[in-house]
Amino acid sequence: MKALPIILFALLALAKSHGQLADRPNVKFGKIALTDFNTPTAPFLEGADAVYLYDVGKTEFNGNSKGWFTLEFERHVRIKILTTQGFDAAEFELPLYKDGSDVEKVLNLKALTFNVENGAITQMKLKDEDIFEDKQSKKFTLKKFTMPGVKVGSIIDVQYTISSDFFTNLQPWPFQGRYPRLWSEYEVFIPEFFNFVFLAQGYLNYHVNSTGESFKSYNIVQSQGASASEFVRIDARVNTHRWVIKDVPSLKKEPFTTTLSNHVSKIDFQLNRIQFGTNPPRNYMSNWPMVVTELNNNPRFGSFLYKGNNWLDDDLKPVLGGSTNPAEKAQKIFNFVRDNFTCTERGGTRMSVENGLKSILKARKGTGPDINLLLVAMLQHEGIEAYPVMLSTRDHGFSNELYPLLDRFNMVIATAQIDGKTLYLDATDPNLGFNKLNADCYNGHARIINGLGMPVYLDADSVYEKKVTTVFISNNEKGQWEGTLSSTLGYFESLALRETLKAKGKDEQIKRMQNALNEVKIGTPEFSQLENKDQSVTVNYGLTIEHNGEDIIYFSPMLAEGYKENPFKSADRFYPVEMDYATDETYVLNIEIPEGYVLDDKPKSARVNLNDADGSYEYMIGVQENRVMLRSRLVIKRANFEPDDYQTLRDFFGYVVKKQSEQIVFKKVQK
Amino acid sequence: MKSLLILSLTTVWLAGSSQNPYSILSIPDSIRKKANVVKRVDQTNFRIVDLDKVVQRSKVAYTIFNEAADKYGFTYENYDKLQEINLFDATLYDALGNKVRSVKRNEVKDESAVSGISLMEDSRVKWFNFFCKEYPYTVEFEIETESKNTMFFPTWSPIGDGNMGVMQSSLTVRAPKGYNVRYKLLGGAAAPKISATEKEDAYHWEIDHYKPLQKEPYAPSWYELTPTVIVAPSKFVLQGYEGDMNSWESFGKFRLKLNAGRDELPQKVKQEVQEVVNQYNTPREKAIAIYKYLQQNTRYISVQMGIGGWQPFDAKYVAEKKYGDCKALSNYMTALLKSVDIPSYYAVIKAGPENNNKWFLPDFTNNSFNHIIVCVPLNNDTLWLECTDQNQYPGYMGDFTDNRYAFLITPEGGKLAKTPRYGLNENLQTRRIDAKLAPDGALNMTINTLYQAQQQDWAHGMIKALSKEKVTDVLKQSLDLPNYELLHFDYKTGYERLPIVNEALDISALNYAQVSGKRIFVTPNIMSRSRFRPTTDSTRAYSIKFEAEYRETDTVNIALPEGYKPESMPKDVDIKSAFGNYKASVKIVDNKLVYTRLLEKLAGTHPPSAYPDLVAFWDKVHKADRAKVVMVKPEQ
Repeated sequence: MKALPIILFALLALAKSHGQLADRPNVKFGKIALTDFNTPTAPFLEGADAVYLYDVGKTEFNGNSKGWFTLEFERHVRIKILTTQGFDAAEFELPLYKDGSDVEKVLNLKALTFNVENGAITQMKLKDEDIFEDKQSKKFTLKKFTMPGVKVGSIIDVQYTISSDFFTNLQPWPFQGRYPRLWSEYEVFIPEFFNFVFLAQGYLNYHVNSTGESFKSYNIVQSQGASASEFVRIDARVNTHRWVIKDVPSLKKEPFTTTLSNHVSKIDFQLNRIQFGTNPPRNYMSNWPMVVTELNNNPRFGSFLYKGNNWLDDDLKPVLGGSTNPAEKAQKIFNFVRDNFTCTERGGTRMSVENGLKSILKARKGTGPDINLLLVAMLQHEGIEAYPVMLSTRDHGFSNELYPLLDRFNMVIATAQIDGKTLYLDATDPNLGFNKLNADCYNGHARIINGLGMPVYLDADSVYEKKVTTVFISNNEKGQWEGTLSSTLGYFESLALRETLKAKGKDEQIKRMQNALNEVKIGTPEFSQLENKDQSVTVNYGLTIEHNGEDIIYFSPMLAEGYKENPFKSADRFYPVEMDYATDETYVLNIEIPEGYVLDDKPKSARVNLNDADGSYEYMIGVQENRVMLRSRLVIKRANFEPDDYQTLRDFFGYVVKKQSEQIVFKKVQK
Repeated sequence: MKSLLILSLTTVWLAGSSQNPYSILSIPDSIRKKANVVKRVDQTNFRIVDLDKVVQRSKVAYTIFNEAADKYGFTYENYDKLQEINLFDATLYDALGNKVRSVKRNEVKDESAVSGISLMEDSRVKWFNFFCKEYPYTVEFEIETESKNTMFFPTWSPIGDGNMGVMQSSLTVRAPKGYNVRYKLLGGAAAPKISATEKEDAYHWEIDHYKPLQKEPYAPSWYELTPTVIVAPSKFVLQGYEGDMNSWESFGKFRLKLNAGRDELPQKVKQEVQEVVNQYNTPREKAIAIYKYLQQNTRYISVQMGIGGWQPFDAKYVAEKKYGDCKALSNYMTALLKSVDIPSYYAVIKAGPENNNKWFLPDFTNNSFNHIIVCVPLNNDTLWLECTDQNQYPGYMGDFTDNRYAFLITPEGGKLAKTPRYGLNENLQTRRIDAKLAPDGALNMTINTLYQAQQQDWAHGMIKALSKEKVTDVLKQSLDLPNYELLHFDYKTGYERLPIVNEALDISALNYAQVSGKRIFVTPNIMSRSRFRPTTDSTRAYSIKFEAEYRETDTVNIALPEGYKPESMPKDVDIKSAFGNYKASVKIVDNKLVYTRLLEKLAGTHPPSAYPDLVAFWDKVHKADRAKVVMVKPEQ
């Protein structure tokens, strides 16, 4: 077995020496034959607007004249436009960064459009005057162009190199995207002294996933100010890696997905370590304890956190008003920060200014990290054990548990230990209560930025959205139904309601509620606990239902509650189902049989389970004297389901929708 | 005692507020009531210094009372090579009008302003937001711009929004003696006070103490309802080109000058066009053939740099690159038509929803356009061409450009002409459903729908803009059915006088009918349930205006399972109203439910007092569309 790597190496070297990897399609920039215009057909290409015939990238390190290494990323992509909608595939945007003397540049941009006209191939070149630079900010420019002469059936060939002085930033490679790809390949050549961690994700199988070795001389020029430059040559072993995925389907959005970026087939890189020969290594991606230490020394993160911050004394005194109980103090501080600071931008993992706590306190506004780090500082000031937590919101993708990759995080919240309980706090949202988080924070792995940097898991599976609705209806003196509805909403629904009431006003909300109820007329609703953001909102209203002496009354017992449609519409599913939370919804109805009527028919009681123990639906209906009583309870115990569970989940909800649409029938007593 | 204390405190504050003009205490209750925001000061001074220099300085202050008005805490200004920003100041005040802070220069954001539809533009933007949330607070912005382009004069619309109180707002326009400042008064705006100095004339408009108004849906344009003044140049300069806006004719001559000499075609294209039209005889057929040639050989790409924002790239550019924006493609189209001696006009238009067609007034020449199309004048049958869409039909104008004036650039100058309007007899949706109901409530059905004119815009847009895979996704997820499988679908498009889409869907809807014990409940209107439902307004202040018209016709046959007898059938409905007509009827024939429905939505303007009738009409339609047939299986 030990001999295998050597054989593999030899084979690769052989392949290389032919200048063309044996299995790679023979595609050369600018070389095209009439047969290349035949539109490929395959099930995964059905309905595509454009197809990447060939997408091959390569990254190499080269010595530069700044005394270090430059990354050169080279890409050749050939695209066939299949419909007018595919014209978007002919537009390109290359993001380029600049920071001090470190720059990114596009080199050797060549681009051609090929068409077939009267049986012959014509070609058209992209001109320099049609390449634009859109300067977005001081550090960031977009190089943009669109291909000339593009029609349905055109093939475009684009080749460019991006040289980058940001040597830690080895270009990732998405194998998958908006358009399908026949051949998507990436190769990296990493000199032995650079050690990168590879992060691969996705569900597609590699056609090639190989490693090898080669040798290269790196020429580095170190300029010595005005005097002569120093020239260094380093001969080094190079680790090569090559990945190919063939026949890649386009990336498709499905509902109940955290973000497609969690599911795209992709490879990403993180610089771990640099080590020249036997010199001591320089670590770039140490480990969590070291990252925590660095962050706690960083003036844009935690350098001020553990310094007592006595300057807060005067500001906190009126806030606390003499409280001594830690839980009470924490609550008061949280409310103060939440209610008095405007969050200008929720995301981010560093403060907007260095050592900026004082200025933030004064300005009464800041970014998410500004506000929540101020919160941590204030809690600590009061002797409460509190630390920052870094997390990645659901739309930002999962954070990496194995490696301390800070760019995989996009938000800072706070955690506190009070009376043996762990609390999570986010003061950036004016509607959010104490120890409550928005649904998008429940994205699995997160990190406490303290001590060893322990992981915490904010799992959507652990969050229950619990709602209880009770309806009580009796006959009034006019012989009509009159009653009350009382509904304690789930916390997330309460959040949404608070936001709607703020943005649209109460009148608009009442109109919406009335509109959802059709025949049932509602009185003015009361919303309790609206201001107490730690609690769920309870909605109470009176209702009347008129019937005009019909022979038969058909009554939909769920009113506006329950599911009118199956939320899982599509018949098939490719990705896991990622709902925001687990669900527990109870609906209880108690209704009096109208005077002069008898119960003629009612739905059957039933109970079904989702898988064995993932959830259940219970529909219990019975009659006691002159009242019909219904209890409907839906429980989904998890938020996440595998694609294999999709059909079961869909059938289960199909049953719930059917059951909840059933009616109770009352018949007039014939005299 | 307590009220006395408050009173005396208020007096103290009021006394203090004389130094603080932005204190909320100086806002009268009548203006504060129902206001999310109060405009405290709004002074715009617009000065025409020369034919190629205008300077605008505005100072505006808003007191913001709640989140709904947060957007007024934000301001921005665009700039480019010919417009500079001389001043960009912002100051924040607290409720009592004490200054909290001013913006620092490095806090003002400076960003590229390339819009989403463009590949490249040379416009940039400066913006700032205090992000304050200690309500109420006041922001004051002071901005001065200086521009070498003098085609754009300000429009003064002091009541900027619903729920906005206005303490004071003014516009002053200064022009050199002899310069004709043109203006249009709308929404009850008063004539200006005119004063003169030795060198300049000044026009001054001002209002004060304007109570907040409530916005209402389906109302006429805001500028018809509140005082508005549109100011426009007589003579002007745009990127070095001199123009005259005194009439549509003279303004058209200016646009003609911008386009002059830009219609030259390469020989190769001329030949291709000749070949394309050879087999056709009439100018109409030829124009349509050339339009198809244009669609097959070009695409829409927007590049707006300098004068390129107003002047089309020439025909050679489009011929070579095979792309352009609306100006370039329309200019190219007129050049293609010209090469075979078919006259046509470059037609400037304000595209978008009709009620968004603000500032365009046929009797006041003004530049209020954002799009270009082509007009081919033919005897009794003018052809309008949208040149930026590879899938549009020749002559058809969707709701982007229908039923409005276009400004035609003819060799004699500018002229106005109206694009087609589609009404009740054109905008059709005709649907037939044949279905079979199973005893468990499942419904298997074939749905055939013919959409015509603007009723087909959505379907046409979907099938042309999305891949077949995405269309499948949309259909699998968007139908208003509780639980269904899409078995098959097919779309056929066509065009004669009007565009049509024929849609065929095969669907299996599980649990469509509710089975409860011995009964089955079926809603016979399966696919055409109206969702439009205006909400009740307590008081209606403005008239009600609807522009669009359409007709929906439905026929549904549902074969019923054996052994059921009708227990409850919805009554026939027949409603005629000023807003629309509606008829629905359901019968049982040969153990089949036969349902027919007609809905006609009518255009028109109605007095505010008609609002309850509008609500009632759509309530009835909403209810009738959801009426159920109840069938019962007699116990054996």
